Amino acid sequence: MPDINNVKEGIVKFIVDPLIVVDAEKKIRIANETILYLLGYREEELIGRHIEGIFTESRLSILRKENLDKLLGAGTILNIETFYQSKDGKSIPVLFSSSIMKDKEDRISWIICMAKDITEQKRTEEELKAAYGRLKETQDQLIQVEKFNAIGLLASGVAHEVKNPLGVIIQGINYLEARMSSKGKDIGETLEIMKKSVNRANKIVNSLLDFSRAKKLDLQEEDINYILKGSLDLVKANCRIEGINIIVETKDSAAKALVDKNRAESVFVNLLMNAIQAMPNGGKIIIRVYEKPLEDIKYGIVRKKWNYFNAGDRLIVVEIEDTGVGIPEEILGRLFNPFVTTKSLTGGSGIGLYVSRNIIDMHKGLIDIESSPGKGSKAIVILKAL
Amino acid sequence: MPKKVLVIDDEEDFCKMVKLNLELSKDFKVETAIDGENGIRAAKKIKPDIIILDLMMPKISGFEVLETLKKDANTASIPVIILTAKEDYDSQPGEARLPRDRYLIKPIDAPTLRKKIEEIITRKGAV
Repeated sequence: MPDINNVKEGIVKFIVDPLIVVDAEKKIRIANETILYLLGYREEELIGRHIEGIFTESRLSILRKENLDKLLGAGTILNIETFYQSKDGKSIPVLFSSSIMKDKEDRISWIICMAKDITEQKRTEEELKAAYGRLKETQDQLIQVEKFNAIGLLASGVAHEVKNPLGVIIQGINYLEARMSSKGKDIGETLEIMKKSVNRANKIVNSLLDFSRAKKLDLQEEDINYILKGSLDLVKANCRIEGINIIVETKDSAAKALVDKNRAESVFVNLLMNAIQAMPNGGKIIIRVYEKPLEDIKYGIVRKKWNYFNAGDRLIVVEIEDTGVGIPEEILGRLFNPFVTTKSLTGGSGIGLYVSRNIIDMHKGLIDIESSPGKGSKAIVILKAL
Repeated sequence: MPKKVLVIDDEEDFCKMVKLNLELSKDFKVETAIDGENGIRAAKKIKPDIIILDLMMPKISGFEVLETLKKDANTASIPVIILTAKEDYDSQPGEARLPRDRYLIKPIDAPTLRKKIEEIITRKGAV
C-alpha cells in the first residue's frame, strides 16, 4: 500500500493542468510542473511570489473583491476566462477555477488555483471566426452577383420595351413642332421640355442596357494612365464650361493592369462627370495615380475585401478628388445601390456608380467614395498591378 | 414624283408617326405594315424606294423578312434600314447582316430619320 502522502504529492506534481496553491497572503506556495512549463518559470522563481504576478495586468480583476467574495462564499469559482502572463510577458488564455481550504477556525489557509490552457481553443475560435467572415463575404458577393444578373436581365427587357414608346413620343413631338410653325412661346417651350424628357428617359434606359451588357470583359494589358487620359479628353469640354481646373499627379512610369479598356474608361468618365457635376460654380479636380504594395494602402476597403488580393500584391490606386459640394452622409453609404443619386434634379439616373462598381468588381478591383459635405469628395479605384 | 417608303413595324402608333412626319413634305409617300407577312406582301406590290424595318415582331421577325426580300429578285435591290429597340448589332445573322449605318436604334427623331432615308435613297444602295 503506497503512502497516501506520496500519492497526494504525485497528484500535484503530475496533474496535467496548471496548478498552483496560494497561502492566505496570496503568495504562491506550490506550483506544479505544468504551470512552470506554461509560464516559463523555474520553481524557485515562482514560489513565494504574489499570485498577481502571473496574471496579465488587465485581468487582475479576477483577484478583486467580487470574485474573492464569491470564492469565500461558495468556496469555489469555476471556469472564468482570463489570461495568465508568462515570464517573457506573453498572454496565455486560460479557464481559471479556484477553491479555498480553511483551517479549524474557519480562516483561509490555502487557495487552490487550477487553470486550463485554452490557447488552441482560442486559436480555433479565431480561425472559425475568420472563416465565417470569409464565408459571409463570399455569400454577400454571390448575392450581389445574383442581384446584378437579375437586375441586368430585367433592365435589358425593360429597356427594349421602353425604347419603342419613346420612339413614338419623339416622332409625335417632331410632328407637332413641324405643324405648329406659328406656335406660341409656351407651346414651343412645352415641346422642348417633352423632347428633353424623352432624351433623359432614353439616357436612363441606355444606362440600364450598359449595365446588362457589362457582363463580358475584354481583358488586355493596359496602361491606366493612358486610359485616364482618354477619359479626361472626353470630359475636358465640360470642365472648361464649368470653370474647373484639372490637376493630374501621376508618375511617368506606366501603371499596367489587366483591364477592359472601354469599360475602365466608362468608369473613369462616370467618376469625372460626377466630380464635374458636384462643382456647378467651378473648382478643382485632382487626379492621382500611384502604385503601392497592398500593405501600404491606407484605404480601409482593401482590408474589407482582402480576398481580392494577396499579401505582397502591388496595387494601382486611382484617386479622383473634387472640391465640390460633397455627398450627404445619409446617401454616402448607399451610393453604390441602383437608383441612388444626389442629382435627381439635374437628371441623374443613379445607375452610374452602380454600373461602375459592377465593372470594377468584375475586374476584381475595388471602388469607394469618401466625402465631406461642403468640402468635396474623392473617388478611389484600386486595381491589381501587373 | 414622291419616293415610296414602306415602314414595317408592329408598333402601329410608330408607323403612323413616321408616316405623318415624312409626309409633311411632298418628297415621300409612306405605306405601313404592322407585321412581317404583310410587309413582304406590300414590298412586292408597291416596290418601295426604301424599307424601314423593325426586328422584334410577332410571327416573322425582321431578320426573316429581310432574308425573304433578299432572295426575291423583285425586292432584292430595295434598300432597307433596320430601325429597332434592340441595340445588339452583332445579333444579326451573317446572311442578312446590314452595315452599321443601316442599323438604327429607337428612339430616333424625325429629322435624323428623314436625313438617313434621303442619304440612302440618293446613294441607291442595294439591300
